[in-house]
Amino acid sequence: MSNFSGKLFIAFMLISINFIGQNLQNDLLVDDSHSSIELKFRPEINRTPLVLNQSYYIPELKDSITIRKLKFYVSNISFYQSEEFIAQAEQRYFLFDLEDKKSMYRSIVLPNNAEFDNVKFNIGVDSTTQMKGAQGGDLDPMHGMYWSWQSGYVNFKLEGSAKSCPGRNHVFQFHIGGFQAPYNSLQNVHLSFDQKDELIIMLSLDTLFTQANITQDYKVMSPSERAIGFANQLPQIFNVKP
Amino acid sequence: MKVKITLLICALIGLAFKGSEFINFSYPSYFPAPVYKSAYNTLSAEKIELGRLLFYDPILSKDNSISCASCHSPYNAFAHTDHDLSHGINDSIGTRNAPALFNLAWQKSFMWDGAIHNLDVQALAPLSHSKEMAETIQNVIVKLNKSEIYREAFYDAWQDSVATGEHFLKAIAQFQLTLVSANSKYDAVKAGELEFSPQEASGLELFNQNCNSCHQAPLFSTYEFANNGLSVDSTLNDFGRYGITQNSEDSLKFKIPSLRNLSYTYPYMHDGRFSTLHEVVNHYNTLRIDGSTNEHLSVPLNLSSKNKADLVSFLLALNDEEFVFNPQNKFPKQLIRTIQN
Repeated sequence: MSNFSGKLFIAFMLISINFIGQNLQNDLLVDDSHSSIELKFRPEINRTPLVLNQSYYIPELKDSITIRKLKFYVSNISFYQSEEFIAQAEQRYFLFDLEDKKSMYRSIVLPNNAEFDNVKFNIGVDSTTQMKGAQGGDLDPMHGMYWSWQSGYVNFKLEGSAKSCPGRNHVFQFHIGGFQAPYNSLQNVHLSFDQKDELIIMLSLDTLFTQANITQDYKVMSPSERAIGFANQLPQIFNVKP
Repeated sequence: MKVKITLLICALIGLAFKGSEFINFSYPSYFPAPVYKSAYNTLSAEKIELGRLLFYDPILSKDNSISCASCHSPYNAFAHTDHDLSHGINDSIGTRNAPALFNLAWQKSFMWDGAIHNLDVQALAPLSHSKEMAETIQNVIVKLNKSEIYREAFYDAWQDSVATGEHFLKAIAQFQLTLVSANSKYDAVKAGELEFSPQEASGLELFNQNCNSCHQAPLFSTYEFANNGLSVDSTLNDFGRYGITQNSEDSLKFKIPSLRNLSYTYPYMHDGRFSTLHEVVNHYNTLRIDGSTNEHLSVPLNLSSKNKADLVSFLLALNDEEFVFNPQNKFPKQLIRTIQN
């Protein structure tokens, strides 16, 4: 028996040493073969950076709008060199929340020396992931981006007010989501850029307000035809900073 | 030496099973494969136990007054017999009957209208509903993280003492997955341990002719949606599945409930309008058929009094007393400490 225990102990020690060795190796690998790119989302109105709870005049609306909340999911960020796929961001889902400044600047780990000149990503959470049930990290339902009365993530949330909006307290609320046919609101964005260490993507929200008529449609909060209509406008508001 | 190695191997296998889905979750061979994908939420004894604590804890509601079990009592096969419509916070009354909870692993959608597509996220619905628990998941997580007992329980379950929305929801789902009801007389007959009485056997025949298309054995539901000919209650104007799909073909369709445990789960139907099985059978017996009623309900049953009694006698053979009184599903005693704290 003592012989057996001894063997077991040696086996255990060997496994431990191997494990520690591997960890060391992994640490070295990260330093060696990865670099990162800073991804920044900058919402703006009339070419000025958006500040929450501040009023902005929109000439096309002949009215001023105030934004109280802007939160959206960006997922499956992939980098390309012309048509050739180069790399995908390791973190698949990012929740951007204007109220949480840190969330608007994200560092994306990529293979070292990777060269790319265009990027593709989704606005929202794809249906395959939605089917998997409760998720963690940026997808945790406690971030206020999961519907409770019906399953599904809110892909893009925009709330605020404008005098011309007939809703209660002149409030408009756009909670754009839905992942099941026929109301899948996921959108694709494709942008070209000159490679730098950072990628700054602007969201021209005024475009949205000149398209959506908030005097009529100011409350879209369920998977529906109207949500799809709103979602279809989203890709064009994303632009790379010139 | 050989014996000792064998013992060691047995112990290792035992450990492996302790963390695996064989814990508390078994079902008869004649059940279909579960719909729930446990690959994304591997069952463990500790997670199930955490889920049981949460299920019975009123901390989930805004004023700490209502737990899941308030409307889903183990003695009612996790339904609620006191109310036709659900009874929530501040004596609020909802618009639908609290459904029984069992065999949830075989259901592809939840709620009477199928609004929820995955068991993991189902708890968000009653938790956030203004007439049920009127709480937010954000605030529940804050409350749980202040509790020493929950910090321990979350650590035991997830090796992380900090409660997150994901871990909270997955634990509740795990407890609910273990609510398997498969020990009725029907199951004993299936296993060759008992035989149906002549009356039950006659009832089974009537069941197969008239009910099995929608209430398919062995789960006694297809868990699809159907319009069973109930007229709309004008005080509720609930059009069921239509509210989710906005498709007129789904108007007045509700999820087909299982017929297991009927003695414990009255009143019946999505709005609890029938309080006895007799009324339910009479509904199908004298049904007024129109174009929108389910295709399987093309004629009223027209059963004689004897046949009605036979059918009910078979339905009662689907009661699972062992499930209803299973101590593993009951109020966890350690919760008394939590509530007192």
